[in-house]
Amino acid sequence: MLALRSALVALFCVFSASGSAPIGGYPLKYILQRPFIGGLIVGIIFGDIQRGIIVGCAMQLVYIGMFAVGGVGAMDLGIVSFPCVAVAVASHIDISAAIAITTALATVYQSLDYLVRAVSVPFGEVMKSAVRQQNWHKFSWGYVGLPTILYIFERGVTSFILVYFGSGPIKAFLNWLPQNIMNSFSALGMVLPAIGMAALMVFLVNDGWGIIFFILGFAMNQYLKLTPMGMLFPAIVIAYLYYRTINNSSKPASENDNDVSESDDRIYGEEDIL
Amino acid sequence: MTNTIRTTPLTEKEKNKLFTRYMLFGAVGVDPVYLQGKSWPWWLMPFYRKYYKGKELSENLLRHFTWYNTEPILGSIIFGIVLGMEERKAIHQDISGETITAIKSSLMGPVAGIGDSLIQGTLIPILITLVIAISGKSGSILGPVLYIIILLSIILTLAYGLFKQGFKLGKDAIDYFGKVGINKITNSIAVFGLIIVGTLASSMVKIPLKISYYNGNKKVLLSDTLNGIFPNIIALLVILLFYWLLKKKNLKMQSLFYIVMVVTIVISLVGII
Repeated sequence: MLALRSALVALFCVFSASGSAPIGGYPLKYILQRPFIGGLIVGIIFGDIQRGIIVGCAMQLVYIGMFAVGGVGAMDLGIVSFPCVAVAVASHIDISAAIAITTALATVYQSLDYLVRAVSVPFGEVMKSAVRQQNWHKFSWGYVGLPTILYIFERGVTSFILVYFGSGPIKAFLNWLPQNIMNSFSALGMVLPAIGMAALMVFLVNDGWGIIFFILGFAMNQYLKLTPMGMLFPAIVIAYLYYRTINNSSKPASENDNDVSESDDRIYGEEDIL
Repeated sequence: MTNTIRTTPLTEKEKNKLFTRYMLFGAVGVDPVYLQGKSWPWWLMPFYRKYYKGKELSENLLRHFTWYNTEPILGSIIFGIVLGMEERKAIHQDISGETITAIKSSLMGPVAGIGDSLIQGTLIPILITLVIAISGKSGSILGPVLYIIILLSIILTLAYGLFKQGFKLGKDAIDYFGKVGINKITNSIAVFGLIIVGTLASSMVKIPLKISYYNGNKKVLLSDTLNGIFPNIIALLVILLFYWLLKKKNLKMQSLFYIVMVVTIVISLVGII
């Protein structure tokens, strides 16, 4: 019975992968990666829905601000949902112990995921050669099949073991880990989201001065406590003004109206420098 | 010149099937070379098989193997635009393949910034707060069920609407983007994205230092002094440093990830953070 339950948890764990759920795409990912959903499903599997959801909500509270920005998450939230909530529910450990286990495991799994991604690189070539041969069966294998097999080993098999053998071995391992190692895991959780933010900036900054818009948003949040939602309309206005500016500045001078003021010239001059 | 085997536009049913394929099989098998890029040929494969055969079929699919990374719900608009342009290309042959790929690549950045901020950074945290308020203590099944219903109805409606609008836009894209210039539009959207990402970064990334020094007899945390200059300045400087490494030093994201991991663990063991 426990084996069957562990296998079910392992299956969900494969489907909650950050980089590669075999099917379901982002709608499913946005659902399965929430620990309380993990709590609900694990509760159904283990026959104790109420406890599952309470544990899930407690876990969610800790990781409420965590998500993968620009594709880089500090930790793998699918792992929080699946083996971790299951381990906590199945082996009746208290929530603070469960959270300690989870933080460590989710960080470890994030690095494992990166390893699997690196191993997945040749599958792109498989797909390309399938396109050249117009072999659509092989094409789908390269896209869905082969990565899924890797994820079954990386996430499925390991989370089966975690749930099946319970929290005992994990706890022993964590007790053996010195406290300052655990501290550095949580420090990692604070620093890694910065990479995701930087990656988004690389997409968005078109010229060196673009970072002033980023700093503007940052300062607005710090000084005026504006959330991303609150910054929506000011940002639209600024973007619109920017659009008007670059649109006018690139017109040949002869097309411009005569009433272009000196201040406009100054702005356009700066645009040229950028 | 052309080998298209069909000259009629896509039917509604065919469009919906392609949209379902997009939604259900997004970002499978992510790898560092293409990230979500491998999804494009796979999403568009049934479309191309309706319109092309032989060598042209392979060539069109191979064109879509490019690096791609965005937030897929808002990204539906990109899928719509590309599909609309591809349809026009197949029927009228007045768009080059490179234009389509360029539009795809230039839209992904702004869409990622806005999508991550608004969906993952705003919508989902609001729903999570709701769920915890309902079920946190009682363990009631209502919270998670509401989350699934509300989240799916919002993101699926949004994605479908954006896909439809994108498709319409894509068919006329060459008239529209040709007149104004795609770069000007995406640069302006990028400015919007940057501001939103700035607020998001400021609320999410917090890096407290544990170092303290003595000012007379008073023990003062270095973080407090620095925050007096500019609140959360350490997080800002770290993000800008990572940005500089990625953009100016052309460091790969994977390499940065591992370097940051090692460095953070070391400075944390030394007791700095």
